[in-house]
Amino acid sequence: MIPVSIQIRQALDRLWLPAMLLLSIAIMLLGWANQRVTVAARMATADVLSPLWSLVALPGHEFSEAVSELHSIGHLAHENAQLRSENETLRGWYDVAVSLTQENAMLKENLHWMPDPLPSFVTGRVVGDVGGLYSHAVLINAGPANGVRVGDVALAADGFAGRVTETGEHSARILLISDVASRIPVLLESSHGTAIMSGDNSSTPRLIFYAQDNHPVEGERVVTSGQADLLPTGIPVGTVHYIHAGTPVVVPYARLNHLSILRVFNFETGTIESPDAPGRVPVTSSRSVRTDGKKDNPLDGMTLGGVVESATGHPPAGYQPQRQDNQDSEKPDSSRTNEDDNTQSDHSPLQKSGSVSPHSSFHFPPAGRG
Amino acid sequence: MREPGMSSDPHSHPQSHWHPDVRSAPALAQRLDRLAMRLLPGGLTALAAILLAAPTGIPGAIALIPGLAMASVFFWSVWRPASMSVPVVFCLGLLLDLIGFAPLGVSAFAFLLLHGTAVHMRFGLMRLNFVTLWLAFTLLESCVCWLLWFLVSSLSFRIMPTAPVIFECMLTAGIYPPFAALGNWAHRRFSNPEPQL
Repeated sequence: MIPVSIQIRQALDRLWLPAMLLLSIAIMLLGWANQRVTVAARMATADVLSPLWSLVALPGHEFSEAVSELHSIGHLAHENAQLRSENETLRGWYDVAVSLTQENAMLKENLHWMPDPLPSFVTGRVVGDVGGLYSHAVLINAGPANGVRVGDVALAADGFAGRVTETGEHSARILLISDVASRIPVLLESSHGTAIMSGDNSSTPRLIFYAQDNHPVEGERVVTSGQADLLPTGIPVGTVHYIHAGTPVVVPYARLNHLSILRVFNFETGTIESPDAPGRVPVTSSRSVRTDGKKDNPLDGMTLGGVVESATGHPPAGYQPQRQDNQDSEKPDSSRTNEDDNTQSDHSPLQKSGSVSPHSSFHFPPAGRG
Repeated sequence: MREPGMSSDPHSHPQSHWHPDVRSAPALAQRLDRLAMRLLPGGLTALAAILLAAPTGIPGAIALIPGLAMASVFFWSVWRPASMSVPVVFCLGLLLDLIGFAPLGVSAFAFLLLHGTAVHMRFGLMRLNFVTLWLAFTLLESCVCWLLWFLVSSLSFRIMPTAPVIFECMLTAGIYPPFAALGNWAHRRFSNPEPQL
């Protein structure tokens, strides 16, 4: 090495700390000024680490499953009785759903209803908890190579979980609805009001900006609202709960702190361009670029009912699922794993008739459509 | 990084050709060994941070990452700064920022300040008994936590909730005693890479 005197070497040693401090300040300012470089660096790191994380996560997942199985052995009989009674109730609801599907299909046929486009979806395993102290986000092992794009909607087995905010090569970061930066326009099903669901880093996001003469009702269902073309209407989010008088929160259906598998949907919202009219200022949609590259998707043209079908695991009568040739063919277990994630059922299906809401675009496809 | 080799020999005389106590430059294997000793604490901390970021189902694993890193930076900066040099601290902070999706460079800055303070007060801290040292660490890490909160809040133009900061301070203080026990063992087990001048 270069021979330098001890004095010079000690002086150089002393220079390291200020130099590095200045460098970190420079990185802070640069990262703040140029977000694109920051995002690229983060997603490159996530891409490198996500295979390692999925290696670690798999045994951990199996271990926790084994532990919960051991726990449940103790009260098998009780659980069996509970499941049997629940099954009875659900059987009744299944009949209701089938008859409503038939009725809905008939009504739509009479109305010459334009079918909603079915979103294409990709299923990915949660491989990293990339939230940190001040944010709630997860990393999944599917990226643009699998069809995941920024702005897509991530659903857990039971409901809305978050939205894709950054994508790498083979991974995508999903900002959960409980994050402090998350603002979701929602629709309250019974009171027919609208509100904004705002995350506050707790497990229950708050409801803000609701009409003062139409307060949210305790226990009513919260679904996404199609306002601002960000999200499709009718994705189930959770139920309203008042923690104090005057502070309504949403108890999400999705277990946000125990996410293991997420489905990322590519809803074609925002691609419907209004026709040219005199005086209309054309707004270029940033999401309209997503229309390319979707020509080879076999799921195009199907209706939104597949979402409900895969969430419940029961295809409606006469409906042939056709996602066998899904585009994520390298994950053959993706459509099957939906069911084992569907363990939470503590939100009672005993809703009022408002649960089959005219606002909801979550409908079963017409019978015999597939 | 400081060069551990004995490149300049203070005992050599230009007149005589016979050097009674000449020491040769360390061999390659020896240098690699020293490099490994230097990088071992930082590398292990980085590995622990990466593993804790995986969804293992451990409650509070995410909050454990900065606490563990702070305990590691402080412990090694006090007892063996050669094993926790400035570039290692910087890289560790940057890795945490990249994993945790915090504003880039924030943890690096805060950890460098912690390292600088610990190295500066090193000889005073080493004389303290364990409980006092723990209290000193608790004070320092609380300052670092609040500095991180301030930096994250000001860089994202939003006042972040303060509950995680208090939780983080308490968790980090709780991590330190077991970490120090482990570190003490490693400190005795692995030789010091510092050049013995």
